[in-house]
Amino acid sequence: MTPPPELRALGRWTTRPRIPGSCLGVGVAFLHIHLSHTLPEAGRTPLTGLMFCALALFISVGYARDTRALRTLFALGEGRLPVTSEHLLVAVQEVAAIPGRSFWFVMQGWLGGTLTVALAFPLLAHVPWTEGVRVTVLGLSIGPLSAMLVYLMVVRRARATLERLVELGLSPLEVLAALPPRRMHIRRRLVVFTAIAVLSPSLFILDVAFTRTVTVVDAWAQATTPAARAEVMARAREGGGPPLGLISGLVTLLILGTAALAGTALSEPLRAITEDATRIARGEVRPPRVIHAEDEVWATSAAFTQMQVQLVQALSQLKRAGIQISSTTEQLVATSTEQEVGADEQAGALNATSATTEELARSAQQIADNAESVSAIAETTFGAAQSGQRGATAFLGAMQRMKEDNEAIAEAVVRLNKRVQQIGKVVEFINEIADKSDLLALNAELEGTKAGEVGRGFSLVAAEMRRLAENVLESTKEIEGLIEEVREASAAAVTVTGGGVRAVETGTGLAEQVSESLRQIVSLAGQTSDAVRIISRSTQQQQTGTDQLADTMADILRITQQSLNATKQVGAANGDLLGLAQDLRGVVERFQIHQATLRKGDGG
Amino acid sequence: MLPAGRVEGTLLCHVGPHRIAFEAGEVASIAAPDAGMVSAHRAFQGAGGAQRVLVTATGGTVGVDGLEIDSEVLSVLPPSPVVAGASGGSLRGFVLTRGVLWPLLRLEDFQRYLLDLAAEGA
Repeated sequence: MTPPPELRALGRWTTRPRIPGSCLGVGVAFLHIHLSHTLPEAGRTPLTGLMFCALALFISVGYARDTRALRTLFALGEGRLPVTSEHLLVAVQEVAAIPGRSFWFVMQGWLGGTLTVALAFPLLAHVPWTEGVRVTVLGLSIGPLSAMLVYLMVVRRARATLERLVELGLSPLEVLAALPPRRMHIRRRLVVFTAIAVLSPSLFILDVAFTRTVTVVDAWAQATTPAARAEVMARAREGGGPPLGLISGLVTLLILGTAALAGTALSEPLRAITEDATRIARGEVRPPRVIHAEDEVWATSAAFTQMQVQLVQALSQLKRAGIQISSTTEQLVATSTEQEVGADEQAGALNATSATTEELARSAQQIADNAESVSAIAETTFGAAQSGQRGATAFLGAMQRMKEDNEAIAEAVVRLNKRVQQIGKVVEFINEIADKSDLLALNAELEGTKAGEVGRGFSLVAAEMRRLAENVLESTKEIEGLIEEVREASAAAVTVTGGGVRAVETGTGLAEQVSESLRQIVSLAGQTSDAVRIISRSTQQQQTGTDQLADTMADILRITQQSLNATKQVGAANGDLLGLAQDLRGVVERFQIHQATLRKGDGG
Repeated sequence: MLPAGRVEGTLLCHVGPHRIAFEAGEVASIAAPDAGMVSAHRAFQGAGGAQRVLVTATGGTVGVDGLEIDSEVLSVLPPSPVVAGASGGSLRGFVLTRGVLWPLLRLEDFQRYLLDLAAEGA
């Protein structure tokens, strides 16, 4: 078979075998007409003309039918439609249907042409109508054979055309979706083919035999003498005329050729499937291709293609999975090793933590003991603070009384000062009197002195009075000094009393502050006592919790040890898994998957 | 009547650290200090008040710090003329009593002398 042309002439190239197939049938009929001498000689030429006219008409109508049946393919070839997946799929569907259409079209052509010729032949050749029946039988015996031949020839070209269309950008799954394997007619086709193969030569032989028999019988009946009849019988025995099996042999050859074509059409896809399967069996996985066929073979090919697609996808996924498993397992082994190291470190840390926890438990015990002591001290402090507060309150009362006493003293000193001032005035008055008395005594003494001896006694009295006055003056001076001292002392007392009052006020303030501080101390001591009590209770709970923690840490340590053992077992299992993953990778890598195949596999 | 060199009854006055004496007969009375008196401190180039005022027969006054009356008869020791002149003529002499020597002054002259000193000072 010639290779398929470009897309532009692909449609005509696909259906072109219909012409030689039909011509071959017409040629057989032509040979039968002219070699078997079964038809009247006068009718052979008109019949031949009719046959070629019908053939020309059939070829003309066939062009129009092809254009209609493959309109998408023709449009793609002529560039009237863009080469897209949708258009290609429609063209594929058209091409896949074209063998069957060609078969039926040839059948219809033979039936119509035979009937037309059979009707026109008696009229044109002026032969009996029975000749027309014979033409009909002749045509109906060649037509199926010709249609079968055309079908087988078109099938092979259609497959090539489909392959070319698929190469333009269709995936196998798209083609399978567009051409689902529905028809399972291979048995029926074989039956029909067998029937045609048996009946066609038989009809030819029957026609020739019948014609010869009729000719011999007619000649024997027309012979009137025994010699003539013997001569007729002798010619009949010699077998004059065309050989009986010539046409039948030609038909048989045609059938054999058709059978060879049928076998080729049947074996080609099976061979291709076998090649692919063998290649896959060798581990060489190529991009899945569509092996075009018909009926059950197409179903087998479609299933095989789907299987290839699934296999490619599975192998791709398996390869990726193998790589990932290998990588993951290596990571798992590394992680397991790290985890093992970490578990060792964790076990060591837990040992240290357990020891620390036990130490913590002991410390908690000591803290609990100390907390009880602190609680007792806090109680004592609280009692002392309360006693101090009571003392401070009493001290505050004493300070208050002292303040009142000081104020009373200050008032008394002020009154004393006033009295002293009054006394001073009295003393001043006495001093004036004494001074005047002294002055009078002086004058009296002066007068007594002036009086001479007479006034001597008077002078003595005056002098004595003067001494008294001077004594009074001296006493008043002393009194004034005392009064001054008393005034100074009272002033100092007032000052000191004021300072004392201020000191008492300061002391009272301080005592109030001390009392407030002690009250706060009592409150804080109470709170401290409560807090210490809570701390003591919490410490006891902490001690209990620490003991439980120590027990739990011991459990954790034991579990960690178990976990470490388990981690080691996991590490060993991961090592085994890594070996299995490498084995799996090796198994998958035995399939030589082409990169294009992988990409198609990833893309579904 | 006593001879000129003798005197009976003297007023022994104290003016600061100084001592002066007057004959009792020259003193009309003894009064308390007042604003118009002349202090004897002026005679000693000093300033100060007085506790007692000696009043003359003419009403003149001389302030002294203190005084005593001695009724004994005392001998008057005459002063040298230079000393008498230096005292403005008021110095009669000196009397010895109570173990110390007292300048005896004439009260009227001494009062004038003090007034003159006051006028010179003004």
